[in-house]
Amino acid sequence: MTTFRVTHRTTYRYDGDVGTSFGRAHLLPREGPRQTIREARVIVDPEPAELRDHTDAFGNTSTYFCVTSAHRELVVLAESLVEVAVVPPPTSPTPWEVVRDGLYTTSAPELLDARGYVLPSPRLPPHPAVTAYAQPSFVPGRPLVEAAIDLSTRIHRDFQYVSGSSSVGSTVPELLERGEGVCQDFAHLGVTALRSVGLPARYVSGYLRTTPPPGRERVLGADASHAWMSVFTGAAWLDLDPTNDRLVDDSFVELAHGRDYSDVPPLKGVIFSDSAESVMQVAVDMIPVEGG
Amino acid sequence: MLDADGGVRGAWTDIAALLENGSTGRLAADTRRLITEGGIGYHPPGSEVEQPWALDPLPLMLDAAEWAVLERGVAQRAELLDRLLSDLYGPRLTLRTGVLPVELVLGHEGYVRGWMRGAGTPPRRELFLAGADLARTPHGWHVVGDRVQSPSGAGYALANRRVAARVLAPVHRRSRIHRLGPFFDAVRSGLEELSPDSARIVLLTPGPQSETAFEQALLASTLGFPLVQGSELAVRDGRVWRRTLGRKEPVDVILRRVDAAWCDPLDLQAGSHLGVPGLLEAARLGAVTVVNGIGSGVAGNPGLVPFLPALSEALLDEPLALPAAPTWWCGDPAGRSHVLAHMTDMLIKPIARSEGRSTVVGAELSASERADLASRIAAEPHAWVGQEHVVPSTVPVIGADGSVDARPMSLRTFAVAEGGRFRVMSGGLAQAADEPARRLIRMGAGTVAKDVWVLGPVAVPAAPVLEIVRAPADMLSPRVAADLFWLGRYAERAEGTARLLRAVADRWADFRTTPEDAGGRALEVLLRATSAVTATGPAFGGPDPGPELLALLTDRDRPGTLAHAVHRLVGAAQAVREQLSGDTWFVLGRLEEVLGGLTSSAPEAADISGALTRVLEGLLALSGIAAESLVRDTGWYLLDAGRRVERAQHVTALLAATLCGNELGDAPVPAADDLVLESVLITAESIITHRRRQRTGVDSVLELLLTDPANPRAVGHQLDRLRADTAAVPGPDGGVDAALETVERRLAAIDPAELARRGPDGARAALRAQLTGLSEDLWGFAEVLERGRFAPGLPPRPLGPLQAMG
Repeated sequence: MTTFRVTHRTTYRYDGDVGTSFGRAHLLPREGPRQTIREARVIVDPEPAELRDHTDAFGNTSTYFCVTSAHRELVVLAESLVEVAVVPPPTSPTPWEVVRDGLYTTSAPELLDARGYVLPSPRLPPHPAVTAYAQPSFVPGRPLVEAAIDLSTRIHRDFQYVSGSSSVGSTVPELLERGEGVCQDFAHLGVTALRSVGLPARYVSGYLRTTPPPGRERVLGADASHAWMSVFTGAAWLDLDPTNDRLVDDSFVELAHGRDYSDVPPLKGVIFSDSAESVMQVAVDMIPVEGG
Repeated sequence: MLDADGGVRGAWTDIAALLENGSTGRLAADTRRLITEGGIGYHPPGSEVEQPWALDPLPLMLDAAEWAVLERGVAQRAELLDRLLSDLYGPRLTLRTGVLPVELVLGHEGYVRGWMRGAGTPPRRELFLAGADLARTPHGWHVVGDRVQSPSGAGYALANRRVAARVLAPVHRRSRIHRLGPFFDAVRSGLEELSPDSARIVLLTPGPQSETAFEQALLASTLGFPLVQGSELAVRDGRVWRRTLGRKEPVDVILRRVDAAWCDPLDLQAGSHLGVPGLLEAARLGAVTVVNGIGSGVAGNPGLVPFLPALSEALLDEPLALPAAPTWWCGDPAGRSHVLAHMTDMLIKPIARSEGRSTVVGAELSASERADLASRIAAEPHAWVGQEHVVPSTVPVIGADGSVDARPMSLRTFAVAEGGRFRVMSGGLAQAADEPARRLIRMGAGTVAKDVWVLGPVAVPAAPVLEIVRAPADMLSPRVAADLFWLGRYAERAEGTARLLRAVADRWADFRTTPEDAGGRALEVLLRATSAVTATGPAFGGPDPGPELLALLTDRDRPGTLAHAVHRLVGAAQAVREQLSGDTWFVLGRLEEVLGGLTSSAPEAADISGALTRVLEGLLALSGIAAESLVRDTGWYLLDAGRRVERAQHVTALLAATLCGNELGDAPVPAADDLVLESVLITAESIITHRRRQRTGVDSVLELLLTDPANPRAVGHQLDRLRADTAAVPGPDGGVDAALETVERRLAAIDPAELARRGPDGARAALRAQLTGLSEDLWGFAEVLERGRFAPGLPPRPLGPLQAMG
């Protein structure tokens, strides 16, 4: 088990006054089989007129805020203390087709829930090229866990991680065409590919602990928000990180999951302003806490 | 209309008689006239302007027995869909017990996850106003579509009734027709049930450019609730507020005409300017009731149709009363193979309409299009249904030439939640297809509407159709205030331009009949002045001013022309139509007609002058309506303020453009000077007064048009009125008072005798300087008034979301 203190600071600076800012954040980690939340809060500066959390339809903690005093800088700071447990890697030999077909055999709540994640989602419509990309991993009779890991490995091998190569609105076909992207794009590709063979797949937003290069000090604020994919194995969900070609373990903290990015953006908002320009700055720190 | 044996159905006897006596052409003409006069419009998507609503005078007749069955079925269907929505956003038992497949719901774009409610939250109204599209077949009525988002058409049904009742007055009086009024009473009281205070109900519109803007305004004025755009609302302190002049009013209930996805740029469609950021959050908290619920779209899912009989048993414990056209959901393998095998006999519908996805007629597809559609269905089977194509029965429709032919027809019915149940409008909106073989009947797509007469078993007391209740104008929003102000400005601008053009056209006509030097030189001055006053640039060239004069009348796309002012006037009126008297449309329709009728490329001065006289008649009627038919409330004062600003500006510009220069040379031709002065006085509608006072000379003209407080055309008079108008409009001063004082001081400093003198070069430089200053001060005042009193709020801007970078 590892305990992390996570701080995620987003600063927006404007060249003119903003009268009102509305925000929606998915910045507080959710409870889950892997993680326990010891502390979590969002602090907004200037002092918001409203700040409210609720549990959304996916079970995530969703934060609403509204700042009504004029400002030129908006800071949204999320702080949490999270215990992450080590979960043994799954070894189930069940073939992926058996999991796929088993979804429709009973109306057990977890199966009904999982079926919703087979469907296309707002950002991830089915695409023939993605369906074709998925095929080599999903050969008949292959155990689901093996096939999903293979898919994750192939994404890691086939695509270049290039910071700044894509935008928040990039699509999966664009990634296939360009061959480079960031974690959000890789997770989207994986989710769409898993769905293309009829498997339930989720998009997960969170953080990954980074290790500084040998001999260097950890640089404060150098971490970043991360994203990966999750697939339903028939009994549980298996999280895989195609960006780093690894299974999600106790180096990862999950914030929220949904059908795709659009369900769980860390922060989005609406402002009322005649300011023309805004600059956004993000600093994330994920620091292991000794002894929890 | 005919029964199986070819006999006239009972209800149709009176109508059949009308068709026989050859009056169809007259009925159609009367209908068109009443629609124009009533300003009943429809704005087809993609069209720049609104078009007259297409209504066939012959109503659809339904007898009591047939209606009773429909009424029960329509009410039951609304009840069922409401219960279904409550379940889908609450406990989801229908999904958990397998009555409904999860794919049908979770895969529908109208299923709004942010609309979900936690356990234990108080009940919420989901479906308030339901529309159902029905088709009559030889086997009875069938539902072919459910409208549960924000159904349109109820207002048009009311407009249809008003027209049909007049066109067919004798028949209408004789028949025992159910009234529509009780339905709108039910809508009003149904909304009031949802609000502790009926003043806190608004109708949310996408704006005056929306397809059905006409009926939204009609509904707002009929129900007596303000029509607001998203920009007029704001979420603060967990609740919704409406911005009015200088205040904010709480809002408890929103009857929305904005589609769910566009209601909130924060939690729904980012970048939407039609919605209110935070609205979903406020609605989730129960601080505001939005109807139909933001999640209601999922109940309009045609894939539900095969499951409705079971849902009716499960949720209502009774059998489904009204059958739907047989429908197969492709998410079910058996359904899918049936649809693929029978595509040519079906309408293929997406479960949710979206970009690139709409209903297609299987029979109209080529083999390759069918194959293409089949592969789209295979990729997302849950997203498609096939609906057996039912052949709707036909109704008689009067064609353009007065001939009558039979067209397939659909009927949209309306049900509203009030007093614990759904009440059905005793009537509806019938729509006949544009051609006999049309398989899909869609509003606007060449269809023609029909009134629906439900005949009662007993005589229904004849009562006037619903009275219009004007929305209270003392709580105008800044947006409405700005539109009223501009309505006044454009009306006055049109009037000033028309007067100027007429005076010039008359001077031109005189010169053509008696070509004298003085007349020619005066005309030259006036033409130049016309370009200057209208700010249309010096465009008179060559010997014939006719083409440019005509362009200044008719070129709608050129700012400064009469047609442009009239076009803007109509646009401003349409934006606030719920504030205006019904007669307004009659007048505006005539104005556009006159201008549209001037098509000759080489017009005679007399044609132009004649048309301008007719335009002026219309504009005078408009100011007559404002003077005699409008209550003196905030709206009236704003309208008046707009007129006054514009008139003061017009007179100032006219004097500056005609009396200041030395165009007539260092040694002015006195005769030409007099002719110009005369035209100025005619344009400023002050010639009679001036003659009566037996005064001559520029100084007396300046006095009469600038400072004389008794002359309703003088600038000074406009300033007095503006003083009163601005005092009557609520809200913070915002510098308005000081700006008006500046104009007043400028005017007080004017000495007509002094300014009338020409300098050595023949020009009146001091007069020009004073008039330029006056004009600048007036613009300054108008700007301060707009910015200070009714500046529209800033539009919402999405704040860049973060990309996951790791």
